[in-house]
Amino acid sequence: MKRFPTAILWIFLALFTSSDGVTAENTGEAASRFNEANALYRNDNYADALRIYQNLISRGYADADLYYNASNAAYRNGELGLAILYLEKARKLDPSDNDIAANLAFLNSIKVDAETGSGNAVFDFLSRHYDAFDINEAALWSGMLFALAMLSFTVFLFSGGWRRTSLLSLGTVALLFSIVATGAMIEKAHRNHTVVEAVLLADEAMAYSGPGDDNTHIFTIHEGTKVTLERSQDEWSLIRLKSGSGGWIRTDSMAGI
Amino acid sequence: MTGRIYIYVAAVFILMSLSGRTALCADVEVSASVSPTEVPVNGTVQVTVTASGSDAVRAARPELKGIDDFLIEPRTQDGTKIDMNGMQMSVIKTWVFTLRPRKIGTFTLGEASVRVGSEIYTTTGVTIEVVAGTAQQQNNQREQTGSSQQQADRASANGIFIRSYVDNDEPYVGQQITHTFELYDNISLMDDGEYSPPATIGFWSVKLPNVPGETKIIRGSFFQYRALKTALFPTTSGELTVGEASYRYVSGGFFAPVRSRTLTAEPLTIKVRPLPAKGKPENFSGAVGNFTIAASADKQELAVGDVVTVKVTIAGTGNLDLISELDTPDFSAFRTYDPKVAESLGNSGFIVGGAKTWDFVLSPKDEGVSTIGGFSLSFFDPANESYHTVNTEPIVLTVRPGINQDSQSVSGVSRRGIKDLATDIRFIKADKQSLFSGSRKVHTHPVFYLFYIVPFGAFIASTAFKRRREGLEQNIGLKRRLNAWKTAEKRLKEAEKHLAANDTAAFCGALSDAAYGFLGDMLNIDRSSITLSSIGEILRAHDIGTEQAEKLRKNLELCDFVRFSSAYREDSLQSSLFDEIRDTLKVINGMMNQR
Repeated sequence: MKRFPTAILWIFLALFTSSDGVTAENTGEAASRFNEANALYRNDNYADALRIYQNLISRGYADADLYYNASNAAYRNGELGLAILYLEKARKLDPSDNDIAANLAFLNSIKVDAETGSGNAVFDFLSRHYDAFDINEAALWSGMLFALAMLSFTVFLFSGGWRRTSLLSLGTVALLFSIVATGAMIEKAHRNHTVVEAVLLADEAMAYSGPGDDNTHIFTIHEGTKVTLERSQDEWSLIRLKSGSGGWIRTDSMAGI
Repeated sequence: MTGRIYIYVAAVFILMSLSGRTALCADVEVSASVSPTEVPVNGTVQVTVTASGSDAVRAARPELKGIDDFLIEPRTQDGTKIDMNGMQMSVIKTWVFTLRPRKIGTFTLGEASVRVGSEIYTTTGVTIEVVAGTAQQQNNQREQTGSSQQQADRASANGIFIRSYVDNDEPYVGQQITHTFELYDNISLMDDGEYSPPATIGFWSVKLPNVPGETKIIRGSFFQYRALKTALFPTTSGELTVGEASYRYVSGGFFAPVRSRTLTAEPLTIKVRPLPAKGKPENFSGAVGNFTIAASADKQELAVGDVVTVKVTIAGTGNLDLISELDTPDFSAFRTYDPKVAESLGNSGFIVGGAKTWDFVLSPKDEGVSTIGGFSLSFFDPANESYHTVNTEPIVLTVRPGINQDSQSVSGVSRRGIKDLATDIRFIKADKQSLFSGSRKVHTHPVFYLFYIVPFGAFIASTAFKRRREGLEQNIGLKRRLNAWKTAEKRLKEAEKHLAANDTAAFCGALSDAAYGFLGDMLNIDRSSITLSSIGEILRAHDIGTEQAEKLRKNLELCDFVRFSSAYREDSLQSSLFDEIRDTLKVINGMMNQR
C-alpha cells in the first residue's frame, strides 16, 4: 500500500523538485564525498566522517540518507543532541523510512528527558502514523485520488447499467479520500510554515519564566529534548515542551529542525 | 411377687440416687484468672477463682499454690450468685485474693484447688512478671484503683458504671500507652450497647483485641466486666488529650421499664515527654520501642545487569508504622529501584509489635566483588530510657561480566532507569551515486496542479459535450441544420463518384439531392416543398442574397436538363455544374452559419 505511491512519489519528486543550483556534476562529486565519509565511518573514524557529512549539509544537500548517516556519526562521536537533530531532519525529508524511525526511537530512549505521549494510546497511535505521512505523499494521494474521482465521474456520464452505479461510488469514495488527503497536505504545509521545532544541543538548559536568568527557574531540560519555538527576544527563545510547559532558554543552546 | 416388686423399686431408687450424685459432681467448672500479669514489686495482683455450675454452691474456699513469694492481703472478697432459669439453677461462686509480691521475678499464679463435696478441682496457673516499677506507676495504679472504687461506690447503686484510663500518662513521644475502657454492669441489658471511642488527635492508634468478659465482685455485688483496649503512640510532645469515650445502652425487661442511657468517661490529659537529646544518634528517625534488624540477599552471585533482592527486616515492639526511613548503605555501585515496603503488625499482651520489611532491588553496574554495607536502625527504648543502634552485617556479592557490558562501554551514554541496552542504532545507509539536493515540495510545483486541472477540465468538457448532445437530440431543426453541410458533402461525394463513372442520370440525381437536401436541412423545411420555382422565394425569405438564389436555381435547372436531355451530356459541362452547385451551397452554408 505504501510502496506503490512512494515509488510514484520519487518519480514525481525527480520531475518536480528544483535543483537549487546544484549541478549534476556537483551532485556526483557530493556522492563520492558521501561515500568517502561512509568508508571513514566503517573504519570507526566517526569524527572525520561527521565533518564530511556536515560539509555536505552546509552545501545545501538535503538528502535523508545524508542526514541519517550524519546522525549515526554524531551519536558514535558522543553528540547525542546533534544525532537527534539530524535524525529529525532526516525524518522530515523521508518520514516513512523505518531506519530513521528506529534510530530516533532508540536515541529518544537513552536521552535524559524521557519522551512522553499524550496518555491516550489511540491518539498517540494515530498521531504517530499521521506524522509518518509526508506532505509530498499527502499531495500525491490528493492529486491522484482527485484525478481518479474526475475520471470516474467522466466515464459515469457516458455509462449505463451497473457500471454507472459502480463508477459513481468509486468516484465519490475517491473524492472523499482526496479531500482528506488535501486537508492533511494543507495542515502539514501550514505546520511547516508556522511551527518551528528545535532540539537542545547543550548538555542541559535551564528554562526561566522570562528572557533572562534573573527570572524564576521553572524547569531544566537536557540534551536531545525536542521543543517547539514560540518566539525569540534578544538571546532568548520561548520554548514549549510536549507536556505543555513553557519557558525561556538561551537560543544558542539549541538548533532548529 | 410383692417382695420382688419392692426389690425393683429399691434398685431403681439407688441407681437414681447414684446417677444424680454423679451429675451434680460433674456439673461444676472451676477457673482462675490473674490481673495484671505484669506488676511492680510493691504493687498488688488479684487472683480470682470462680466455681460455676448447679453444684458450685457446695464449693469450699480454694487453696492457692505457688504463693510463697507473695503476701496475701486479708481483704479477700467472696461472693455467690444464684440464677434460676426455668427449672435449672445456676450458681457462680467467686473468691478474689489480693496478693502483694515480695520480690522481682517471674511467677506462676492462679493454680488453685477447690473441693466440691468429695471431688477436688484444680485450675491452671498464669505466668506473671514482677518488675521494678516506678513510684509514678504505683501512684497511677493507686489512683486508678481509688478512682475505680469511688466510681463503683457512686455507680453500683445504678447497677452499671464505666472506667476510662491509660496505663501511663507521661509517656515519651512514640512510646506506646494503652487506653482501657471498662464496663461493669449487673443489670439486664437489652443489647450489647454502643461504644463510641475517644478522639485521639496527636496519636497513632492501634485497636487491640477485646478483653474476654468475666464476672467481678465489687462491694459484695457481682458485675459483668468487659474492657476495650487501644494502643496509642503520641506523635508529638506536650499535652495531648484522649477525648471522651462513651457507652450507650438500653436496659429493661419483662417487668422493668425500657430506657436508654449514655455513660460518658471524662477526657484524659496526657503529658507527652520529648525524647532526650542526649545520646541521640545521627541516623535516629523516630523509632521508639525495642527492635532488631536483619538483612539478607536472595543470591550471592550474579551478572552485570541482573538484579538481586536485598530484604531488610525490622522486628520488635514499638511504633513500627512510624518508621518510614531506613539508614541505607552506599548503593553507588548499583542501579537502584524504589524498595517494596511491607508491614505486619500484631500484639502480644496488648503490646503492639510486628515486623516491617524493605525489599531493595539492586542491579550491579560493574563486574567484580561488590559489597552492600550494613543497614542500621537507631531507636529509643523507653524501658531503660536510652538510645540503641542495631546494624546488619555487610553482604558480599560476586558479580560476573554481563552480556550487554560491551555495548554499554562503547556507547558511553548512560541514562537512569534503562534496563536493556542490547539494542543499538541501525547501521549507516549504503553508498550512493548521487545526492538529492532539491526542496522536495511537490505541492509547490506548478505541474502538480495539472493533477487537478486536467481531470477537472476533462470532466467539465465531457459534461458540456453531453449536455449539448442531449440538446441536439431534443431540437431536430437544429440537429438538421448542424448536420446539413456534412450530409450535403456526402451526397456531393456520391455525385462525384457518379460523374467519374460517367453515369449522368445518377450524377444529376445525387447532385439535386445534395442541393435540395441541404436547403431542407439548413432551413428545417420539408424537402418536397422545395421546387425550382420556390427556391428563390425561400432563400430570400431567409435573407440569402438574390444572386446566390438565382445562381442555384439556374444550376439546378441546368442539372435537370442534363439529366433528361442528351444534348447537354458533355463531361466539361457536368464538371462545371458540379463545381458551381458545390460552391453555391458552400457560400449559402457560410452565410447561414454566420448568423
